[in-house]
Amino acid sequence: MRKWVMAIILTSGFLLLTGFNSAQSKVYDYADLFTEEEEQQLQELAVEKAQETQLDIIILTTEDKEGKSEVTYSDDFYDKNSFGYEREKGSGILLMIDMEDRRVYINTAEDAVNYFSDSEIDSMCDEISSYLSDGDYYGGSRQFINILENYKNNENGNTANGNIVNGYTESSNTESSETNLFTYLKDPLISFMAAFLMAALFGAILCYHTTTKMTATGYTYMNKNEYRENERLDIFTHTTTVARKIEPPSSKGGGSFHMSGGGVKHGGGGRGF
Amino acid sequence: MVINYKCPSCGSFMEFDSSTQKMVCEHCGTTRTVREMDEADPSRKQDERDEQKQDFKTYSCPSCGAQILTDENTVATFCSFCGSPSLMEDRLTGEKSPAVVIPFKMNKERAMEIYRKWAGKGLLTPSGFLNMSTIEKFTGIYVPFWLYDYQAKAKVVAKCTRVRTTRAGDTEYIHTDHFDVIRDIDSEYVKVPADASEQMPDDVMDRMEPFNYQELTEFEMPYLSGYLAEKYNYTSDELSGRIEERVSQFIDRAVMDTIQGYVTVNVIDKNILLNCENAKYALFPVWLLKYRYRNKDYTFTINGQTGKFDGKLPISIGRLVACISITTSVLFLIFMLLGGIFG
Repeated sequence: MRKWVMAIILTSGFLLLTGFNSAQSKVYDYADLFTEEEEQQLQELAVEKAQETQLDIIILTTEDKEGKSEVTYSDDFYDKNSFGYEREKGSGILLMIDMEDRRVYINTAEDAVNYFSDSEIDSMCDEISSYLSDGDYYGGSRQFINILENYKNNENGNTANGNIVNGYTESSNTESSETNLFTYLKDPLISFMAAFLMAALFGAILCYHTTTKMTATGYTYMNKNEYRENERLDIFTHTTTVARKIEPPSSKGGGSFHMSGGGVKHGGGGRGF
Repeated sequence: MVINYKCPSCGSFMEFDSSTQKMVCEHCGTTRTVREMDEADPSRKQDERDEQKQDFKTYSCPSCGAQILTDENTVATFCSFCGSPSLMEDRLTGEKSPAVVIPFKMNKERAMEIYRKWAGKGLLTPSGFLNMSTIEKFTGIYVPFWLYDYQAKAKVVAKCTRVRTTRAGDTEYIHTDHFDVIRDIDSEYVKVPADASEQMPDDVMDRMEPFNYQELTEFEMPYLSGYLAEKYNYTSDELSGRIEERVSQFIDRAVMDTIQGYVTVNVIDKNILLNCENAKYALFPVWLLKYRYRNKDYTFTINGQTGKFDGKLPISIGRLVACISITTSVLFLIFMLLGGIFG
């Protein structure tokens, strides 16, 4: 009995401390697109995936944005409800299905801004909108939550989990996926070629050492007392300059963002369906 | 004619000993300095009359009377019958007298030691090379050289560049600074040697360099006793072409070395002027070892003063293949290991 109580207190205490409120509703179906059961399923999925992605995941459907833009409306909704994984008004990602304009909008908050680049958000919108066009609002929302892990970048700007993303495969690697010089050495053919080349070089050096070399140079015979520099001029004439624009670091590192009225960093993107 | 130096004590022959740098009697061990032997030489008074004599003629050994077999370039040799050291005095006097000589600094034993050490070394040398090679000929010979003193001038005009980069915001600027560079130097090159013997290969003699000129001394005939010696085949004028090319390269290197710190150097104009001030006839000591290995003849040459040697070690194909194979295997294992750990 006591153990259970302790466990409950600790878990809820932990969750409260982290700011993540799993008891809070994550699904707001104002446009009434989901059944009760679907809402429940989405809620469970959102809470489950929140732990994995370290983000508060929210699903919002609406028919009336009260005259606001999709950006402002979703910003305000997020801020007003103080969503956030690590604290209130913290990191999270919100999917808004806007039946007023038939648009899907993904809103990122705080750290989530860095986890998803603009192009990745666009890709996610594309994936989801196909469901929505077919009227499968539940399917689209579910898909949204499921693909979050795939698109999410860790600090290095690499996707944390390899899967088919945008049609091309990335190598599955849960640590940083850099290939360094040593990776190439694992291939026995490359190792052998490298070893052979170096050995051949060594052999050539040994052969070179079987002959004797000429060592006397001009300086051997130069009378240094008689050396004179009559003239030494280094005259600067002109400079030619070439300008080159440096590519900004690829937006893989994060997306564009703005500060919402509620003082929260928000990013995101959307498209019609 | 032919002279040789006789020991004042016992009448045997005096030879120049490289370890003591004196004349030593091979029989009783009496020593004299080179100068003393030279001054005691009675035939010196005949110098003027010998000048008119021709180069090629028969010489008889003053000890045994036999005819000394020699070619027109030899100036010091041994009588092929009785072995006494014989110097062709008339080929070494007057105009044909060398100005300077570097006496032998190391003797036959030392030279042999150097050879043995060299033949025994090397990863690729066939085993038994030292034992299986037979020494056909082992002679100490004074090789004729011309030593040139040259004045050299070089003027260079070049366009050079330096590169630096700056950054402003998101634009990188690569600046190339252009310079007009002018250099004008004078220098002197002294005692640049050119081997004046037709018989000795030039490239081998080049590798004997450098000789230590501190030990360059005025020529005196007794130094040659006990060694072979040649006189020059080519005059100093005939070799000047080769020497001038060499000195040109010296001054070119010297002037180009003064241009430092640039990324690119583009020479627009180069002017080199050489002036020969002096050419001296010198004799330099060389040990020549001709050996035979697997029915092929090789020559091992040692600088008789500094010990610098020239020779080509034979390469055993078997050993070379083994070496490369072993190295490949070891490196292969190391690479695979590294790949597994760090890859």
